[in-house]
Amino acid sequence: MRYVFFPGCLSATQQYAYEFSALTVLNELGVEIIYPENVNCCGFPLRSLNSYGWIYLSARLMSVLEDFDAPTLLLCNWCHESLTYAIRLLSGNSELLEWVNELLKEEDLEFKGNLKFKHLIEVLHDDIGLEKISSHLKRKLEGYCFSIHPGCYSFRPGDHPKMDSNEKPLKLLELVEVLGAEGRNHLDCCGWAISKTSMDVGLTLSGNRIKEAADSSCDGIIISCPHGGEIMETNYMDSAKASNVKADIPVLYYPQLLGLALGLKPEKVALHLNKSPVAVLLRRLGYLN
Amino acid sequence: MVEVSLLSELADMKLLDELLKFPLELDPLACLQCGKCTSGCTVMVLMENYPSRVVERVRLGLIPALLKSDLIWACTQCQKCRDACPQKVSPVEVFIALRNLAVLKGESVPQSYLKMLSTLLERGFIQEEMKVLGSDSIEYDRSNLNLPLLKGPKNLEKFQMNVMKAFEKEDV
Ligand code: SF4
Ligand code: SF4
Repeated sequence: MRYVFFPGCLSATQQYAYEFSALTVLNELGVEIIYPENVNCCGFPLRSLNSYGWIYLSARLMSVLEDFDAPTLLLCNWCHESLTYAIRLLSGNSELLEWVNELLKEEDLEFKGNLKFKHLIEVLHDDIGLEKISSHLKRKLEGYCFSIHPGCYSFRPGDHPKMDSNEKPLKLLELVEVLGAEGRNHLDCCGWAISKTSMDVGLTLSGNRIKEAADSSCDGIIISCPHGGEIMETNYMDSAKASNVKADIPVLYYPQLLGLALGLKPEKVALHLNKSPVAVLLRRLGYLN
Repeated sequence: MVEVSLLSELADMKLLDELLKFPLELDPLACLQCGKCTSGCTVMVLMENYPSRVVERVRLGLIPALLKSDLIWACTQCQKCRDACPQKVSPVEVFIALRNLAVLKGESVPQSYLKMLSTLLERGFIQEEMKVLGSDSIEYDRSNLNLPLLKGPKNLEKFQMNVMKAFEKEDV
């Protein structure tokens, strides 16, 4: 199994724990990774400024990635939705397609529409599979219960081809349950996008996710999108404060949790980079005194 | 949120035509004002923003004041309203189209978006590589984590020219 690895802006510049832990577990599971060059932001965060700007950026990224003989693996829910949506628009509008390819020609690129891409969660759940993951486990996380936060763009909007079911997203939940833990699906929005213009509202939404996990007696929140990571994990303290949460609720990227179940030491999955109270979990797992 | 005299204005149907031309999946004209989008909106209570009202104003062409209003930036793009709408209106895309139009008409744009765009022009990504302080008090970045370099656009000059052209575009 071989993939071209595109982490996206947030993982590549700040949410290192996600990229690092993803690389570690993929390596453990025998997946080969290629880092592309000449890549760029998918443009989705900038579509508020101009839709054409976003479409050019997504088309450019796909034109680079589709030249490899391996499918692309994405870490970010936004990249996944961005490429999905841009393909729909470009394939239904020949003038738009012509315009974008005129621009790309300047950079010796062409959007052909042949890219195959998958999110990390799809690669783990659908390509590698629960059975294979299960056979690699060194410890079971029995007795733990996690709040499962797959993130809006993994299952919304329902009229786009998504990585998971719009009515009942199950992939991240099943990936947690195969580790022996219990999971509770929590499908609300983390608030990242609104934090760009109204930080207090973003932090309140993010804090409400932490509160939801605390109120359902979860031992932590499991995420698989760097947007949720930035606001719920990196900004954990401010989020918890905004929603007045007193409990300690560690927030972990799924590959970090998977890594622990594969028997890896916490630093192998970059848990020393987390800002949320992961020590509570590590202590209970016997890694800290 | 302050609503700047949203109703004391004349309709501008030309602006509505411009808005409908953006390459987005939206259909404000199909709205039946059922309110389903608003009742499930993530930010409705926190920001006193009602997507069905914004859609109604757009439908009536009451767009000029909206373009100046903070309301069009008060949406977290969660897509719940899109899923809830029985008419395929996509209120979230109506918000995006209004933002696009506000930018093209030279209305003020949140600084955070302009910052992302200028970083994109410099390096191809919306954010510069940051240092992250670990629990061991060491500052981490890609290089001391041994993460491979992520290389942006090869020909930065041509990329920048294309980005500028694309972000100034009004229609095809
Ligand atoms: S996408 Fe925006 S308008 Fe629609 S439900 Fe979410 S916050 Fe509300
Ligand atoms: S759900 Fe759709 S039809 Fe109903 S008010 Fe909202 S936009 Fe209009």
